[in-house]
Amino acid sequence: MRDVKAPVLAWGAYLIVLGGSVAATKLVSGLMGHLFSLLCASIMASLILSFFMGLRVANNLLRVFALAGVMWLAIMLTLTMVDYVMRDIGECPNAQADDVARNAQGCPLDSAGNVRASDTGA
Amino acid sequence: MSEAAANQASESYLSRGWRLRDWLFTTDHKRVAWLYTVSITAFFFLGGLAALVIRLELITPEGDVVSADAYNQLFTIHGVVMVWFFLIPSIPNTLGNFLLPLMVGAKDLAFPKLNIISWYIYTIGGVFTIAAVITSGVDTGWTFYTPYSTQYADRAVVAALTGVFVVGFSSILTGINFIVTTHKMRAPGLTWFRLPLFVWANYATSLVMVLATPVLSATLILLILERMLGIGIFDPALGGDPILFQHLFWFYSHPAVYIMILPGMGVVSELITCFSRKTVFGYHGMAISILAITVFGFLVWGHHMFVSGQSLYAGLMFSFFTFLVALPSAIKTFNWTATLYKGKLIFSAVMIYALSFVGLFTIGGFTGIFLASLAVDVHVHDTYFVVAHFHYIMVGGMVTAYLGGLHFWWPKMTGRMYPEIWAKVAALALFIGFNLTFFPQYLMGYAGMPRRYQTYPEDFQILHVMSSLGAGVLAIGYLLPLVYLLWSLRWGKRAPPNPWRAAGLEWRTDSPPPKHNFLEPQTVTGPPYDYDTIDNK
Amino acid sequence: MTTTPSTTSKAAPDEQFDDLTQQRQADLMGMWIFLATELMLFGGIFTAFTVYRFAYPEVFAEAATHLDLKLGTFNTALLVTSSLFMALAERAVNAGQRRKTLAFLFVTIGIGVVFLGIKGYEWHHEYTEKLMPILGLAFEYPGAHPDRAEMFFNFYYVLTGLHAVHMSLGLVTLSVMVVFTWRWRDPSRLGRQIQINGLYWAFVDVVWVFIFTTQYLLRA
Ligand SMILES: [Cu+2]
Repeated sequence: MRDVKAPVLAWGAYLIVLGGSVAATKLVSGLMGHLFSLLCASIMASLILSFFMGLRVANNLLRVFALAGVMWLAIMLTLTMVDYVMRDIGECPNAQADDVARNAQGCPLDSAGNVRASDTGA
Repeated sequence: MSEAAANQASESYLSRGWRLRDWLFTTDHKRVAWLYTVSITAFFFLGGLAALVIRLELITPEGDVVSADAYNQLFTIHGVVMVWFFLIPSIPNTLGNFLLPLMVGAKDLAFPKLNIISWYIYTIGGVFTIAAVITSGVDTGWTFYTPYSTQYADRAVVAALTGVFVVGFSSILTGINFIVTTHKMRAPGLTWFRLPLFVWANYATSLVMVLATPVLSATLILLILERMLGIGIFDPALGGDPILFQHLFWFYSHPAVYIMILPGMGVVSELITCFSRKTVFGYHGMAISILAITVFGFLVWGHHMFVSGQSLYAGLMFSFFTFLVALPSAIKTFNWTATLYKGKLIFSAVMIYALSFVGLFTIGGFTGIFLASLAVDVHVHDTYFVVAHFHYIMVGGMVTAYLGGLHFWWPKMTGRMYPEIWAKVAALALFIGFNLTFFPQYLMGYAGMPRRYQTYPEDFQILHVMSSLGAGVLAIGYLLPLVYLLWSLRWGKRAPPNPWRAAGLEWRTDSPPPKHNFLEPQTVTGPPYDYDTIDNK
Repeated sequence: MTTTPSTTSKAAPDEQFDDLTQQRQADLMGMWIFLATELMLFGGIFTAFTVYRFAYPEVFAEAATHLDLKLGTFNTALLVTSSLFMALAERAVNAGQRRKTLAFLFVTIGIGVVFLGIKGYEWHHEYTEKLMPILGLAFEYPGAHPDRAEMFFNFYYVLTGLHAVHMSLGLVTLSVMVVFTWRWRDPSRLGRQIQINGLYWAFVDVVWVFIFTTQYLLRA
């Protein structure tokens, strides 16, 4: 059996990063902790991909396919979020980022001063 | 090799093995292509029948042929069957299955067992859905929009969703098979820029299948879970957003439009170059446009949601990207035209189909630009304008290309020629019937006729009657090929290996080809579509 | 080519391929593309989760504290250990060591089963705490905005459930590999099969990393 050291080391590294990630959620609350955990997750995933799945030694075409998967996920996530960054689905499903006037429930009004039909809960 | 073995190797794939299990357990890509052809033809005529009843109902403004409820179920059946069980698998799984290995000079697809499994998945899923839809009825339309599909529609929604979910796997398996075959099994000398455009188109289609279909699967899982277990991901009562369903759905279903049309573009490129006796104009541009359409196609899904309540800024972005897709599509159209220019055109039936495609696709694409514009879309959204637009792409484009391709490669697939005169009649019937059916729908849609309604104001009756008449002519255009193609199987003239004097590896082998496609390994030494050399021989 | 000796026929590629290298590359590529489709499958659900995580940050962060972080972390460590043994099994089969391959496969499967057991225990625990809004079961959430918290738990069950389904499928195929290793008929073919299975098993682990991080760790 050759090349046993690399996966064992990767396993150790993974556990350390996992520990760091869990510790971060306990110690650093809020956004910074969350971002750190997500960073740790990417590192852990990369460790598995490179050492257990052989991406480290795979030919370039396979890497391109792996990368394409990630790219397409990024496309889906980004373009979807463009919509949700620009409106608030919490209280008023059809709220838009440039709405100025709001009614008593805090829902935005259209230019004629009416609540959008779909925001009335009907 | 012994003589007997040599004889057996040169026998056509059709000559031996006519027990049922020789077909149902085959792994030969050519036979699987036939299995698919039989299945999709059955689904096509079923979906067509639903359309015919719809057109019959719409001859008069009142609802008189069927009940309103039955009408809703009819357009759902028509949409579900045509989109999921006909358009998506049509060209890739029939012509693509048959031709891709031949065109790259391979003995079979990379995973022949997956190929036959994909047919089983497809057929079982399809039949299951149809049974559910017909016995208990589904009226959600083919799009299954929430919250209607999750909270209001009763009856067989879950069954229909499950069927579509299952059929998705057949797309994924086909996609994987085609991609790996194109990458790994090309004949020596067959570099990427020597590949026929049909292979390029099927390769790109497979990429879309592989990258988009799983998202549909995930979305359908979420719908099924919401209905069956009450796990409400899109439920407004839990702060859920029904529009999110549309995002996920169209992330698949817009690219799915390219699953439907890209293979058609590939077919038409082959037909036009052959019957103009000229190489494809701007081959590299054509290949790159195919890839560009594939990538851009993933950035535009929100154009189905301009009036859904999606953020205006997201709408702006999606509108902009949609205009971008028009670029590679236009490049393709111009290049087809330029290929025709100064060619020695042969107006065979196949060419009539190909030219119909270019014309109808152009009209469909053009009206797509109207719909991509935010303000215009507010006016024509959910009207017959949209219906006409996508039928120009799907029927005028895809179905025309499919029939053209089927005729073009019929001699290769069966070893028989079809009757040219009847084929010309059918091709013309398709063109005339199609335009008569769908052009009036542009007019009535622009005038405000909404889609999915059983009744309508009397003002629209003339246009509706024209459209229904056209549907009758169109039906002739579909039924004729069914008759004479079947006839030709027995009585058609025997086909030589290359009846059209066409370029491409598939024409170098017998018609029909032997089991392993070629008797000797093929090598490629020159560019594709070298018609000057062929004609000067 | 009248008769083929049986020794070479074992190492021959399937009929559609020219040689074994081509077949091996094709198999690998097919598997990686399949994994890309798996990525998009989970990706669709993660995208939906992101939308709501962004819309209701406080409620989701609060709801996450109701999950058992200790068991979740332990399970994550378990799963990567099982991936390690899978990777070792791959190396053992390539080195022609039948007994070691078998042992490593058994450890891999065993850890996988323990993982599912712990996951089931967690689900049961959440059920007793009335945090399982499935099939109309009572959902009694102690914090603010129980409706949105329910949405969080919806995602938790969808993601962990779908992951468990993938794990179970992996356990089935790994058990088949155990049988094949037991028989040890065609080691080079077995090596390819175990490699393909190893890819799937490791990928299920990759998915878990993100499920664990987004569900357990993004807490208040
Ligand atoms: Cu679209």
